[in-house]
Amino acid sequence: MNITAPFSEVLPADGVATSDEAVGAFAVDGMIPQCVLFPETVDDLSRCLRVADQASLAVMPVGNGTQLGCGNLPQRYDVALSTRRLARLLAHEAADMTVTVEAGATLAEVNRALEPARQHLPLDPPQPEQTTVGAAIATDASGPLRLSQGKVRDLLIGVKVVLADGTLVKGGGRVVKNVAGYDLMKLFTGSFGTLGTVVEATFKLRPRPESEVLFAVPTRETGIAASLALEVLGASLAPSYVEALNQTAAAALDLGDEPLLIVGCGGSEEEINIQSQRLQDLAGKQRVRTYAETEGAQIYCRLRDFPGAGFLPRLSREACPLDTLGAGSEPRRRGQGDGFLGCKLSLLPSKLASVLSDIEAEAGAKKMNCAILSHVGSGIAYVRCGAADDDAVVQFAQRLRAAARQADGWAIFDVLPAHLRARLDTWDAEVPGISLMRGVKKVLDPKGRLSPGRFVGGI
Amino acid sequence: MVDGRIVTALRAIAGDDAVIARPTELKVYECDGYTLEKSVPEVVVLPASAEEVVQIVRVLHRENIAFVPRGAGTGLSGGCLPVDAPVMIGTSRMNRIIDIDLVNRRATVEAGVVNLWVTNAVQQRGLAYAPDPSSQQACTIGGNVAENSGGPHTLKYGVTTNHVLGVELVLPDGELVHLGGAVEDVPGYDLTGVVVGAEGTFGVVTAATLRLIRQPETWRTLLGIFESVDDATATISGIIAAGIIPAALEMMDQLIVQAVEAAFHFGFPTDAGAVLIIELDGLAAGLDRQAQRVLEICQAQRARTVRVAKDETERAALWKSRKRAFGAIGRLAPNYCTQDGVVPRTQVPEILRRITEVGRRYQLRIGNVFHAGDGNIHPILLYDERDADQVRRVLAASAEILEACVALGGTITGEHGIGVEKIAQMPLIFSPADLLVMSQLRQVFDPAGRCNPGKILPTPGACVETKRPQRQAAV
Amino acid sequence: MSAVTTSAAPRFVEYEKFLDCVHCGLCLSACPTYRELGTEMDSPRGRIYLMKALEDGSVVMTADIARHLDLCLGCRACETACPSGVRYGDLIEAARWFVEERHSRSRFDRWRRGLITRIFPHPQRLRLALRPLLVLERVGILGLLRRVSPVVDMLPQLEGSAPLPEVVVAQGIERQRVGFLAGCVAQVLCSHINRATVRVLAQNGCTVVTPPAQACCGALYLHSGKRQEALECARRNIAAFPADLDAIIVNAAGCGAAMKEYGDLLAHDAAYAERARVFSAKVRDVTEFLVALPLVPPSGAIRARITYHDACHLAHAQGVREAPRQLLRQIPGLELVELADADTCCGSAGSYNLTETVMARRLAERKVANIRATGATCVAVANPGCILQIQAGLHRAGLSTRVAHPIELLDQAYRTRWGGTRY
Repeated sequence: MNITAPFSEVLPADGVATSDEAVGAFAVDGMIPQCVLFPETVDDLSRCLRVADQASLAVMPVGNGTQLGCGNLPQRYDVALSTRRLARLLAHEAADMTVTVEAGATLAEVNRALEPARQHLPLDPPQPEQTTVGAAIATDASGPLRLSQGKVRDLLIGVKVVLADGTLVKGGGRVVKNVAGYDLMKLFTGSFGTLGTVVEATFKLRPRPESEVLFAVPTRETGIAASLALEVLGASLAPSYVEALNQTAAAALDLGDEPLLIVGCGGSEEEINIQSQRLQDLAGKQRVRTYAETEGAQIYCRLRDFPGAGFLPRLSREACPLDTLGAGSEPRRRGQGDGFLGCKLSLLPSKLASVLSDIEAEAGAKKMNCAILSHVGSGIAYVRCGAADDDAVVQFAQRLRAAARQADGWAIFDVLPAHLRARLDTWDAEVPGISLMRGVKKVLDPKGRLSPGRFVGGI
Repeated sequence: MVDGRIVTALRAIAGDDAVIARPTELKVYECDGYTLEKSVPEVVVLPASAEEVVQIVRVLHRENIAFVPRGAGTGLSGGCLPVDAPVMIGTSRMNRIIDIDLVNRRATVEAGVVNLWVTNAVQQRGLAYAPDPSSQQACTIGGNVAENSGGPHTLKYGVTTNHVLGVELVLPDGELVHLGGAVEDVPGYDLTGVVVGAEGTFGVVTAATLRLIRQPETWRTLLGIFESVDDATATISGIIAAGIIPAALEMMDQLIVQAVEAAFHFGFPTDAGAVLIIELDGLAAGLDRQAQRVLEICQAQRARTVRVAKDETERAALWKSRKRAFGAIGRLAPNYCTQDGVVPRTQVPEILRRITEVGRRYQLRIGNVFHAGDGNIHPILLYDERDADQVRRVLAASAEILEACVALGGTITGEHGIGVEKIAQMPLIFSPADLLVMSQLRQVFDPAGRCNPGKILPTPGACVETKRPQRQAAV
Repeated sequence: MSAVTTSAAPRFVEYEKFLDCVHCGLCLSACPTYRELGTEMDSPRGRIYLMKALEDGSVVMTADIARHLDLCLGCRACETACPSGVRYGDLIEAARWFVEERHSRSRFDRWRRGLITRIFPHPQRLRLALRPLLVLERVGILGLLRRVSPVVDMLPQLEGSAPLPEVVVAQGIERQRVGFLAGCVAQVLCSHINRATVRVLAQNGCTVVTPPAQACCGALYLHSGKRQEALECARRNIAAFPADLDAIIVNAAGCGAAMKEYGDLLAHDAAYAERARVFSAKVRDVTEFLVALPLVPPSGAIRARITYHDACHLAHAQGVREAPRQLLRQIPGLELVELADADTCCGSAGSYNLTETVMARRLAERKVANIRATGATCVAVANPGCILQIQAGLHRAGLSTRVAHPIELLDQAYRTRWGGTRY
């Protein structure tokens, strides 16, 4: 059945893509949409959704498709609705430190526009050149800076969303203090395209720090790096980010052959100097390596991109040193020892050290390659691992989930190859408040058309 | 209606001394900090634990009786005014700090815990709970969660929702749920984030897990005296443009300064147009230089004087003057009405001009004290509630001020909430579609509409929400 | 619905005084009874609401309203917390009188209150009343009675007490000539504090005049709604103390607060108004007086960890907080640690602990728990009433922490020549 005809009435010709290449780029494992839509205005986007609604089609809102790999397999997938051509910067109020932007703009595009005013949107998930604002909101994407700057929920102050039936609704506004009505920004953040299509967002901004320096401290073990990180967080430093890497991750990022503690500091020269001293005091005998300006920025970019490496369909080879894990530019390739897994752990910071040590020990025993990068202060760890044996990977995944549960935390599998996606639930089944969540889904998408089945509890 | 049978059931759950049903005693519960509207509940019950709340709500659910939660009753929008809700559930006896995790910087507290107690409990260890509304010595965490409360330090540290990781909530059908948790990323929708700021319409929050922050190494607090509000606001712009984010940035206009000076004798010149309190915090290294920079910016904007507080005592005195400003102005008139509009920071001079004009037109004295850093204005309208005409003028002037805020790109409430006070203004900023989504969201939590009804959302079909006469202040 | 009377004569207090309260609620968690009970009617804001309704006639006095007003400690911590300057102390005092007028108490309650106001303000009667108890103390039976009766439990170790000499001359050069209020209950139950006070003042170059014609300061009467008797006490004291004194020293917080307000109390008395104003202006708590003198620093040391409880009528009613702490810090060897909720009422509140024994006990328990948490071996308290209450509370908790007036500690430090004392 040709479903694209009605869309062609709404959008210009190049707004409806049906070629194999075009639709393939937005595939989720083996599921390929019939077409990809690129509306250029919010009105057109609304009309597309109304058409889809009338034709009872299942729609997945997307940007560049960078985050499609995270989530369970959709029950149905007819149309990919891309916001990529809704990429306008609508307003940058430098004096108010806010920016309003359409959802299809990438994070890098937004920050380039803010540069002349020496401000930035301090949201730093992997691959900012590809990740759109809409995708960052939908997946609650975050990076090392979440420690000092917050996540999407702390920066997003206004949002416009088009619902499944084409209705445009908004929450918040353009001012940083706003408690009028229910906080819809929180609802749509991290909703993975199941409640609506974000078309416009207003964020709080921050001034760019005067200067930025990155410090690296090698340690004997990953657990020690994590513990040292906790000490840094308890001391009189004001770091921008505090990361712990295990040996494999450090090697993958060309940072040597030992587990690392990485601390990023921004501010005036005096502030950076005093923090450098205090860090050295904490590090004791281990020498702190200092990377300033360009070199520091490059290392930071590698850190930032670590969780995404090996997942993006159009990732360029140079930026991906994790070939050995089988997580190259074609994660959907089947067979030949490419069992791999990406897991994101959310724990209490104090429990990271021991959980990560356990994970490493387990991986070692099973002869799995395991790279771990952790935002220690936030209690987040990204585990990227691979092995030849699929069953070993699945077992490992279950061990990870059990370890997280035991530590009163969560494990989600944010990178899964197609043949493993069927065997593992991306999310945990027993999420608190699941029946309320189902209720929310029911009111905002009563016919279950948006990204059906991708989310927690089968939502 | 609440008949004797139900009162007996409530007594059986919470104890005789926890149920208030005598008319003379119920009268003290007829309003909170918003005194323009009053409504006496039929019964007030004070549970001592979440378990008692569950049992109470189950009884009310079974009997189809609406209820309203109440913390300390310091709210300023009528959030706990009983509107078609005969039963009031007070959290004042649920005031235990359940757990403090110093290493992970989390605290779990019952809803009746006073905001300031949280900081007091951890400050010896160098930690604090960041959201600090002016009423923090009395307001409860439960109330803060309901209103998504702010305070002067939100410019740098955010509001309540940025510091709540999880809530324990009794749904209107009596089910107890735990949303969120102590870890930062929890799979699923951010229901915690939606409950914060829901103004007590989604159920009764009985406990919350809070994030604690590290106290900054040190502070520099400056007081700038300016000839005019314009100079002061230009200073704020200058500070922001210099890439400095103060921890707090508060402004008081002449009327407020005069009231504060008469009450507390801080040494403010009573002929100054505006006074700015600027607080910087962070690592000691470099803070003096930052303070110097701010001082220069103030002077560039023709500040009459700029003082840097030389020690903790002086800093505390400066903050006392700001946090007591409302009370100080209370000495000037029997009643005052605090508004809570927001405009983009750059529009502050314009909104203040419009407020002055409104004050002239309605012949009302209006003072302004506000969080200048984030454009959250608090015009304080003075009146005497015994004079019906003054009350009418105050209500009309308030509405005009809010309309002006919206016209300048702002919003109608920055931290006090909609409550009953600003329901009529909701259509200024939200379309019918927006309001419908909110109403549907509410029904997910409260299908029967029995939890704190009559708040936030206009009733469908009504173009303008008129204040019902029997809820007016008695004149 | 409510008839707002603003022009008619007040029932008990001018209606205007209620208008300072804007119903903000900042007083709530400063109020000890609200913290214990969580009921709005037992908070200052709620009580003001009830009093306002009584004054404007929208409610009549009922047993439960009387109850809520009776439960008020009169500690005035709410005044400290209030940003609007509500004079809650004035309101509750006036209301107490109104309660006595309109509320009929139980026979036992009437008898008990009557007994208190007939005996306590009169040292001779109190001595007489306590004489049989003194015998029981010496024989050892009183200890048993303490366990049975919360009232008897309040009594300290009873000792004999003779009145102070009328004039005690300054040691060395006379810096000031001051009057001293010996108090009523304090004279009998805490006479050692009075003696210590006079010694310390003399040591600091003050000649101390303790006129025998002085009366009870009147606070007890005022807080029981007996306004006429309070006025009488005020007049007697103003007449009893010579007019040429540099200051009038008080070592009891409640008395100091009452006497500093004689000016307001007698403002409408043509014969006494001016004298009362002058008198009140001279009243000083002994701690603030000594700090301002300034104090001759003691050379003897007391090596101990000490904490300090702010008596309500010193901290809230008089605003004196720093002076007692400064005095203690001048004693060599003393380690002063802050008490949590130092200025929250201990439950003594005049004679409250005799009429509201349950609430007074609860507050004493809180205070004792906080004292225990400091690890101090002694708690300094500048009010005899608090001393008795806290002593009884510590005793019930099985703690041997000493309770002393700061002046006693100073006295001890002066009298220690070398080496210092440790306990």
